[in-house]
Amino acid sequence: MSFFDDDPLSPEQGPSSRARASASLSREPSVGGSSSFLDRLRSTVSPPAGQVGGQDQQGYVQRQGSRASNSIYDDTSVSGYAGGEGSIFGRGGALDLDDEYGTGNGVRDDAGTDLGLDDLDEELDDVRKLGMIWVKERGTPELMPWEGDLMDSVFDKLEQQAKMVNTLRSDPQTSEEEHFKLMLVQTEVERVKYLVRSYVRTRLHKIEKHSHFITLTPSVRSLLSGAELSHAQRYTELLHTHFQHSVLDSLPEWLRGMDDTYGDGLSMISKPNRNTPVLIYCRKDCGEITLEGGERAALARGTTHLVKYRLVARWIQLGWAEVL
Amino acid sequence: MYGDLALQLVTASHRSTLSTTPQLPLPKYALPLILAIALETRQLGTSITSAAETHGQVSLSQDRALVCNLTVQHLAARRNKRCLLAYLATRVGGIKERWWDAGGGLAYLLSSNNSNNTLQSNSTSNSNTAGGNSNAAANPESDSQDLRSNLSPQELDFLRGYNTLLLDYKSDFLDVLDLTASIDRPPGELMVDVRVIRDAGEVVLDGGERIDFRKGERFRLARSGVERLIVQGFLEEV
Repeated sequence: MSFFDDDPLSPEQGPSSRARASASLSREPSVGGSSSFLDRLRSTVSPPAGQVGGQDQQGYVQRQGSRASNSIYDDTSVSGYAGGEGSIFGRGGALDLDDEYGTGNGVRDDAGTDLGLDDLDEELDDVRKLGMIWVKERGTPELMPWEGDLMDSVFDKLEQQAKMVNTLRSDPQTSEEEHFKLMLVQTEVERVKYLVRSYVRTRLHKIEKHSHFITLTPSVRSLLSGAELSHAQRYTELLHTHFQHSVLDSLPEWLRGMDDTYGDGLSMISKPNRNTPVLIYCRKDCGEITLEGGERAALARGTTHLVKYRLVARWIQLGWAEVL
Repeated sequence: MYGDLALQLVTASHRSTLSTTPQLPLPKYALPLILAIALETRQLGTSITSAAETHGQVSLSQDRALVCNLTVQHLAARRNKRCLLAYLATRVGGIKERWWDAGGGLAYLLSSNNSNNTLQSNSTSNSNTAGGNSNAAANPESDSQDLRSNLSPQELDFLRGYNTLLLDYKSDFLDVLDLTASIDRPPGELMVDVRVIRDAGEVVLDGGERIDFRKGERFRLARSGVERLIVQGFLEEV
């Protein structure tokens, strides 16, 4: 039995065969016929939970047909293998939009309904969601809401995977082929970790840049996780102490404030620059926007635009438009 | 002219940031200049208050020359403050950048000077002096030496504070991943070939193996385990 043959899903994949053909090799460890390998993987964690989760997952996979299942390691494999460098980011992120949403749209048209975004979200597994919020966070000047639930679930899965891999690696019964698959799993774990790291650090960067603004603005504070909020507060304090000790203490008293507004209207509390241009892809019809010069531009579904963040912030937050 | 010194400070700081790509060492903290600017600002401040006191409210609305004088002094003082803070903020940015580049190793960051010196003295005592020196020159970390002496005491405090802050923050994640590991590019391979370019002594890796890193040796190891050593310049990817 070859690697390729035992993936029952591959024949019906049709439209997306480009990526999936090679992906089937890699998806195989989790979905394909190698359920014994999967079972072994799962049995390394607490058996009952693992079993239930496993069955759920299998059912899910079948329901979804060609969609990827929601376990970490199958996406893994896709990126680790099929694409090599950077493929997961393309898939999870935006580069592969045509493929991704092309198939998505096809499904929708068949069903004759316009599935809401929530449905679309449910179709995506955690890793892909992580990729999307990562791109979004990096592409926008403002802080996006903290994806606490997603992070928790990703962390849980990472931990679980690490445990599985460790158990299986030290198990003398593990065959050569399984060792190879384990390596794929590990590689993907590393890549997911990279995503998380980059995501968290992007946020940290933004937070530190506008820490004073964040601590003073209640509406923004709700976008942060508890740890981030306390970091913002403590960082602001630290920075101000540093400034005070370094120079402000030796200035006249009326010049020691950290929240002055200058004559030209520039405040010492720096805000995110909402005029930063962003590249967006419209997942839905977003109506028309009025550009600076009074010119109007239609944001039709499936089009890509480079506009000021201020003009499209609403659509980005709703998820109707996606930052590239 | 008021503000000349401040301009000097800001221009120098701007120049040093222009060439961050091959990271230059952080310039020395311009203490004399800063003191001079603070002094100038204080003088402006006293001059403003005394002028306002002696003339009082009434003449302020009549004497246009006085109003003009006060405005200029006021603006100059504010501008000085702005320049000083801009200088500090730029340096804070540089300090943070170095902290992240060093993978959050505060001790390593501040002691890089010593280790570089010992490296050089070692290599000169070795027979292959030329090889040792070229290694030292190629060592990307050698430019960050003397970071400690280029920082003001306040900046050192800031760096320490920042370090504690980030350690607190990343401790939430530490059981799963190390937040401070490099994010230059996504990991492609699990294993990595490394060459030891600086003696690191015996190191215990994640898997529990102990490896004695001696200069010149080559290993093939899991990337996640030795990432930190690569960042800190002990190992080099082949």
